[in-house]
Formats: sequence, C-alpha cells, structure tokens
Amino acid sequence: MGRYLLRRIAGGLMLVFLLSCFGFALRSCMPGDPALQRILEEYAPSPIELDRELALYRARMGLDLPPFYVGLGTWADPPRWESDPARRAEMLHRARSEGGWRAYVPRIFWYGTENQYHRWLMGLLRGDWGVSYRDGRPVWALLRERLPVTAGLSLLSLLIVLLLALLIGAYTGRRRFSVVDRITTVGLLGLHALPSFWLATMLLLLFGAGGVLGWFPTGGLISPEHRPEWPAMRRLGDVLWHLVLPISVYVLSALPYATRQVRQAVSELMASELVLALRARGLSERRILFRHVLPLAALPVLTWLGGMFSGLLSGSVIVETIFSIPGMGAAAYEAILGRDYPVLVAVLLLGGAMTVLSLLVVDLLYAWVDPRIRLAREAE
Amino acid sequence: MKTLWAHPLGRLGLIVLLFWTSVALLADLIAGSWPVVARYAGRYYLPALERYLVPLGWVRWPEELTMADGESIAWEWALWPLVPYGPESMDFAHAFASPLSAQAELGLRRRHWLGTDQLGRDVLAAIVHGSRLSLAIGFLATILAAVLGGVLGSVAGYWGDDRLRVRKGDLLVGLLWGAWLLWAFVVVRPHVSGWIWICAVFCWALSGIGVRFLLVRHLPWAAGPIRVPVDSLVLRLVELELSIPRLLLILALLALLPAGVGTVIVVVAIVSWTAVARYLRAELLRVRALPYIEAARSLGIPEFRILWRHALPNALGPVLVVLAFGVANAVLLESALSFLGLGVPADVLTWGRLLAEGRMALFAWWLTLLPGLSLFSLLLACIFIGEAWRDQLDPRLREQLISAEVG
Repeated sequence: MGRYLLRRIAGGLMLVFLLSCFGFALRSCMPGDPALQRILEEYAPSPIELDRELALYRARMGLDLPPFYVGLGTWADPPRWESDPARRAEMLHRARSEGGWRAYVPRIFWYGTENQYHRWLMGLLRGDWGVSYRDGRPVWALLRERLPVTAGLSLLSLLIVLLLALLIGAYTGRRRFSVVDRITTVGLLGLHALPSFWLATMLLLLFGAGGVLGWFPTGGLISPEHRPEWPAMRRLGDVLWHLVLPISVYVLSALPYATRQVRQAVSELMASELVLALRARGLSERRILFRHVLPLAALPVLTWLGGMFSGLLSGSVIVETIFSIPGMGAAAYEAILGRDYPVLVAVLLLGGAMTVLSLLVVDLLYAWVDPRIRLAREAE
Repeated sequence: MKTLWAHPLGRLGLIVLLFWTSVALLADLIAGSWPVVARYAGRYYLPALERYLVPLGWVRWPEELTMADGESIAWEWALWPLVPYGPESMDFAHAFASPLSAQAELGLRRRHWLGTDQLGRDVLAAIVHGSRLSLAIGFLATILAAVLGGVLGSVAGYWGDDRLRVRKGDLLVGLLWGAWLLWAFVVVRPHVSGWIWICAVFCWALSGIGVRFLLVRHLPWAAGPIRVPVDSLVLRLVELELSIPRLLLILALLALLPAGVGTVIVVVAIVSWTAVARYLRAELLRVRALPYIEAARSLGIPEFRILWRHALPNALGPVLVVLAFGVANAVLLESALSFLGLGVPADVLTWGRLLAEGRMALFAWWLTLLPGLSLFSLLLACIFIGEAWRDQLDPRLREQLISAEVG
C-alpha cells in the first residue's frame, strides 16, 4: 500500500505542476492590465514618460525577469537576461544572425529562482492570486466568497443523486426486464439525452416566477427581502427555496448514469453465489439487499464519484450562469466574457487541483475498500 | 447497418438521424425566400440553388435578378419552398408572434407556424437552417476526435508497453536529431534566411542518417533493441486531460483561440478524443492477444499491416458505439457553448444560438421549446443508435436479454 500511495501522490503532484504551468502560460498569453494602462495614459504627459512609467511598473511586477527556471537559447546568445522585450528581441536577432555556427548549437540557460513563474507560484501559495481586471478586488477574496456556494451546491446535489440512484438502481436491478424496469430505463435514457442547459431553461419557463406555474424564484441565492436578523431556519429555508431548481437540474442530469451503474451491479450481484448463500442461510430479501448487496453495488459508483466532481464543476458553469448563482462556474463564465484573465486562471487552477485531489482520494479509498484492487496494484 | 435496422431503438434513431440529415441538406428547398423553381422573362431558373453559384460566376443571371432579393422579383411563375421565409428574412410587423396567435392576415401559406423572434424571423426556418451547422460541427468534431484518438489509441493498444522494440541507435538518433530540429525551428529559424535554413535542415538529416548507420554497424549496444512504453505514455496523456474539468478546459482554450466555427470544432475534438483512445486501446489489448494475430506475426507480416488489416477491423465495434455517443456529445457541447455565447459567432446560425435567443426572452416559450425539442430528438437519435449498437455487440448482455425474454 505504501509504495502505491507514494506513486499516486507523486503522480498527482506532477499533474498539479503541469496544470500550474498551463495556467502560467495562459496568464502570459493575456494582454496587460487594462485598468493600469488607462491610469498610466492619464497620468503620463508624454510618450517618453509613459515608457518610463511602464518600465518602472514592469520592474515592480517582476515582468522584466526571465519567465521560467530554465530557458533555451544558442551559444551565440549573450548570457545575461535583457529585461526590455523589444531590446531583447533585437539583441537576440543580431547575435543569432551574426553568430555563425554558434547560432546552431543549443544551449540551456539556468536562471535560478529569480524568475516570473517562481514568483507567481510563491504568490499563489501565499494567497496572492492577483487582482481582478473587472472590479480591482483580490481574486482570492472572490474565490473565498464563491467556493463555498459551488461546493455546497455540488455536495448537496451529489448526496441526492447518490440516494436516488441507490434506491432506483436497487429496485430496478432486482426486477430486471420487468415492466417498471423497462419504463425506468427508457425514461432515464431520455433524461440522459436531455441537454442540461435546455432542461434548466425549461424548468425556468415552467416553475420560475413569471413562468407558467411560478412556484420558485428565477435566480440568485436569497430573496430581496432576506434579512440577516431572520431566524436561522427561515434564512436556510429561503436559500433552499432558491436552490430547488438548480439542484433539480444537477440531479436530473447526473441521475441516469449513476442509476445505470447501480442497476448493473445489483442485478449482477443478485445472480451471484453470494446472494444464493445468503438466501440459503435464510436471510430476508430486504436484509440481503440492504446489508449485503447495496454496499457492494455502491463500489462502482465510488469510482465514478471522482469524475463526477469534475463533471459538477463543469456543470456549474451552465447552471450557475442560468440561475445567476454567485459560484465558481459563474465566475469563470463572467471572467471569459469580460476577458478577466486572473480570475479565469485562478478558477482553472483551483478546479483542476480539486479534481486531481478528488480523483486521488477516490482511487485510494477504492483501493482501501476493495482488497482485490489493492493486491492487484501492489503486484504491479 | 442491417442489424441496427432490426433493433427497434436503432431503427427509430436511424430514421430521426436520416430525417435531420436530409433537412440539413435540403434546407434551402424547405425554407427560404427564393423560389425552388421559377420562370422569369421566359426562362426557367432554380433560384434557391443557383443563387449560390451566381457570385462564383458559374451561372449567369440577368442584372435585375442579382440586384433584388427573391421576394421582390416579379416572377412570371414560381414554386416556393414549404416555408416562404429564409432564416434572415425579417417580418417586423410580426415580432414575437406566438405559434398559437391567430396571424389571420398572413393566411395559411405565409403563417409563422412555429412563431417568430424579436426581429420577426421565422423560427421554423431558423430550425431548418440551424440544423446544418449543428450537424456539421457535430460530425466534423467527432471525425477529428476519432482520428486523433484512433491513432493514439491504436498505437497504445496494439504495441502496448512491450511490443514496440526499436534499436537503441534509432531511438537515440531520432530523439536527439528531432529535438534539435524542433529547437532550431523555434529559436534559429526566425533569424536566418530561407536558403540557409533549408541547407541546414538537409545537412542535419543527412548527418543523422549517417550517424545512425555508423552507430548500428559498429556499436553492438546501439544495435540492440529497447522497449518503448507507448501505452503508458498515451495513458498519462489521457489522465492529464481527464484531470482538468472539461468545461473549464474549454473556456481556457476559447480564451486563447480566435472565435469561429473552426475553433469550436477543434476545441470539441480536443476534449473528446480521450474516449475513443481509451476504448480502442482496451479493445486492441484484447485483440492482440488472440491466436490469429500471433499467427500473422509469425508469418512475418509487417506490424502496420496486421494492425490495419487484421486487428483494427475486429476492435472497431465498441469504438463505433463510442462514436455514436460522441456525435451526441459534440452536438451537445457545441449547442451549450453557443447557448452561453462562447461558441459560434453571433452571425452564424445553430440550434444553440437559437436557444440563447430564447433565454433572453423567456416569455416567448416557443423560442426555447421548439429548437430544444429538435436538439433533443437529434441527441436521442444518436444515443439510441449507440445503445442499439451496444446491444448487438455485447453477447453476454444479449444472452441475458434472451433468457429474460424466455424465462
């Protein structure tokens, strides 16, 4: 177990590192801070002063440092790092076109820890996630505000999906190919084909305020008359009332796959020798199902949970946007529409890291719960 | 195909898919503001089709025809499409007309059967014309994903971690010389003239071949084989892709790439090749252990030929199922992106963009309900075909089905 654990953790760290490199590359591709550009243009009276101000800004932000720990170049290049990008390009061009054979020999430069990526990464670890282009607030504050919303919404829906899947799966798995099973299967297949964004809009049309029935609010987390001095139960009820439609979208779109997994497992287990032996011992069908079959049938669902987490995060972009819930997905959507790159990179990194973590945890959990898998992997 | 037709779900799926494909292909003959057949100044025209050929110079029309739009021309005789509106024809007098409203002044012929949007554009015409790009993007993205995932998956599955053996000299020279070429293309290429670059690459390739022969001839170590774990390499790549939430990856890619239909196709293919690769790999790992592949190898048939002619056809079954689901997935992704305003540009018509319009005007339920139902029927058709295919494939499941039918 120890070696397997170490290998998996090392793999997860590698993935997070690659993810951070991707985020850094994305950040480097983006244009500069528009707010800063505007301020500089306002305050600098002449182009020369604007240049000087920009150079000062670049130095302060560390933009004149080499981008990464190592850099690729030729033996004709001068060894020092030129901070001004225009001057650097010109210098490199001159050196390489006049460098003769040296310009064709690769050379790896080592820049040490004084580089942009290192600074950026250290900043992330300290909690300095940059500043949003849109409102100038620290990205970390925004994430701290929005992460609990998405996490709570996802966990609540996940719980409901699991419960429903186990119930429906157990029922149909025991009576495979019965009328009820056939109807449920076809119904779930139809549900599976339903685009979640269309489902959300249709639910809004039917149940949203101003729609046909108008039972539930159309968006947000709390009603306008919500007061902090309300009793806790009333506040919670208000939030839950707002969450009914979003959670139904999550549940309805995730249910078919989960139910199918449980049904398959239950029907296979019910035909197995295990259940035959339990029946021979005279256990009641109910006890066999709930105490022996369902815990085993939950295993395939467990593996699927890790991927489900990433799916929920993806789904949150759509659901939170449609129901205007202030969560991570809505943040990512607003960020891409407003070209707010710091927020986009932050959401990508956090979502990716959380997905890697959940996949890792589920995998280890699975290996811990199921000895067959543990043994097979240790033998690898 | 025949077995698919025999399956009730498969038949339904095929019929619906065929229906939408023909709607997409014949869109201009079903809905449009140009007649299908018309007579003008004693000559017959096929305006609905010919109008695309006129700007190319393939067909010559009189001046007054090219200047006007199809409805304002005084045709002597005309056979109009079923829906006499194009996707862009605006009828401001009937903006947001509900399908249930009377529209008595329009008459049965020119009635907006499925309603109109805020500019008075006919929803039925938009659904008919929107099916074109929705289907095209779905199929093209799936084909791209199939090629990408097919190449990687078959290499990983057929050669696995143990069967790809190359001479150490080949691998060494290939890696070193390839790395230099890549480096030089990025670092040196912008600074030297074209001729010098071509000569340098030529000399480099020659030197590589020379060094390779010298090494293999004179160094026993370099002539010895080494295993290349292609399977592990491809699996790592798949894992990397799976660890990033899909829609977040798409958002990041869309932020980097220019907006357009091509971008949507590429992005959808990038996030969906892994399924093809995983299934093909698993199937080929099974197939390559079968005795007939061993027999083919012992006959000395080249590996590529075995893979292409003997292994792949037997491994393709499950992949076709994945592809059927893949089309549904690609159509769904495109429409979700366009619905969010991140997919196709605003001047391109797809079902997703239509639904985005519906979201802006929730009271106009027909803008959401009807394009959504078309999308749903297409997705359901693809999923039915996939399910039917899977039923045909899985003998274990079929046995169970039969025993359930009997018992």
